[in-house]
Amino acid sequence: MNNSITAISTKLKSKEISAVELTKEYLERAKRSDLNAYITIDESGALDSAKKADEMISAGNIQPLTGIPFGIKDAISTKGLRTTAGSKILEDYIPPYDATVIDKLRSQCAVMIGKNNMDEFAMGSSTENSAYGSTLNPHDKTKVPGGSSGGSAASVADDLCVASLGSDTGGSIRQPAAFCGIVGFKPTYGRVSRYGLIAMASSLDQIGPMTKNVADAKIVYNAIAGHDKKDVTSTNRELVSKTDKPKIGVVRRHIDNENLEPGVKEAVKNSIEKISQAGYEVIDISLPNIEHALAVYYIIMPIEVSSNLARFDGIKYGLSSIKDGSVTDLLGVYLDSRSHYLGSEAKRRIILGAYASSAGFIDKYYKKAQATRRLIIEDFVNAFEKVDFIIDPTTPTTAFKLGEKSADPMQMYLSDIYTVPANIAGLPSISIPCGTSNNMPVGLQITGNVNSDEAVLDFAGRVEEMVAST
Amino acid sequence: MTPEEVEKFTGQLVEILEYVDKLPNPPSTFDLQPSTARSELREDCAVSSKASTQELLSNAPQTDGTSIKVPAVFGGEK
Repeated sequence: MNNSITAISTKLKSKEISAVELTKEYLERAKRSDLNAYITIDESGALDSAKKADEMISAGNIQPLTGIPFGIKDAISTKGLRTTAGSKILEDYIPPYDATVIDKLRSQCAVMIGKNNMDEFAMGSSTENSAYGSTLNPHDKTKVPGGSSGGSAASVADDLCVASLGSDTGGSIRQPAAFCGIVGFKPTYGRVSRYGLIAMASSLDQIGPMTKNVADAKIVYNAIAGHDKKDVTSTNRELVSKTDKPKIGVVRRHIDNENLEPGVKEAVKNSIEKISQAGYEVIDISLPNIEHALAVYYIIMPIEVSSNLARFDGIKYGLSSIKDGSVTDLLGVYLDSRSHYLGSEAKRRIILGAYASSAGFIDKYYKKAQATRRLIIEDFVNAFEKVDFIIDPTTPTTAFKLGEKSADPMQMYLSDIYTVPANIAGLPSISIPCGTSNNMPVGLQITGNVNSDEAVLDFAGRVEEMVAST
Repeated sequence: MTPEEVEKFTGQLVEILEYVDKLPNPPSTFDLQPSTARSELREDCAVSSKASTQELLSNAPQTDGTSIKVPAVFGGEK
């Protein structure tokens, strides 16, 4: 795909184009687009950054992201720029501080075009749960872009920005990347600071790059990764070293699954064939407990959601029933503000989480889920003694129609069946395009061991070349 | 919640609970120690914020200029 970070950076460095000219082009494209990929476009902020970027370039201080137009998922706090997390309740919320990843982008003078649309509080797989309308898939506007980082994926795919930052709790970077035909990388849990990310499920959330190719994902990852004392889960542990000839694990049951769309199955099998032909050893592996990953996810995640979303109480920030004067007691403010300004999916998950963590059910649900989570982690530990990477389809189908699954949450949840395990185990996992099915992009998922982020990106770069060659 | 929401959510939540109910019991020998915690110990000190009181209060629905204002717990009076 043209207009990658490296291609644009070369043009900026040679002064073929200025950052201000480039930013104006992207602002124009973003404003003209009918995909609804942005909730907020920040024209003045973007132009200010672009001017600074041009000064940096003139002074000979260009860095990899200087002057590069970015989209930012609207769950990531940007000082002075409205951050809604896709929710009505944060319609007027202006963060008083920047997320650490935003600090890091600003230090290189990257340009932020605006805030990308998303499912409310990152809960969803289609961006239809946004209080600001659905985003459309640029490959077929009757279809969803995936979610929850659907605005990020659509804007990268349609070149409404050069790269975007998304967040991934159960597949929210990789699934929309697959649906829109771009690259999406979820780093190891803890390698990128979540300070300033509006939390959904804190033991699973991770920020990561959404880009046009693997080389760009690596550039963005290197810019945003690193230890941060403001995030207690931030980790500094050493990266796992790379091997020259990595071994590839495949779970046959995943590839031969009868629920897999035939075109997805074919594209994934072709990719594995090419990897094998390139001389990599492909080994069948088994992850005995992985079939329980989605059930584990739908216990642990809602419990963490019900706790994290308690902060939206109409008192400290966000829309509140205090203002309309209809309630006069504290409890009334909580109940009224939450019932009016939170969306259906948020309410469903709060109810589910409160129920599953209530005194009478904690053993039946939470403790059992935590135990199974540990068994799944052990399955991966055993698998990574035999192989370096595990390959799966990113999603069982290509992008589905708008409205097709919105009335049936369980069907919607099943679209994350291949992506959720990496969050359960905290593993780095990337989705790269690997062909099409019925003219829609298919994603190939490559998952590595904890802290093997660079190795995953390196190998994904090699697979990207293999898949492109015919 | 509205009566419509109660009706809609009831069926949906039952379906989700039926799905998660399939989770098997872990082996009886399984001992869940809290070692899954991946956070690391750090010095017990405040991480400073550069935001001013005014900036932090700017999003609150009701303030008296220096503090957030809330209704009384039992209502009726402010």
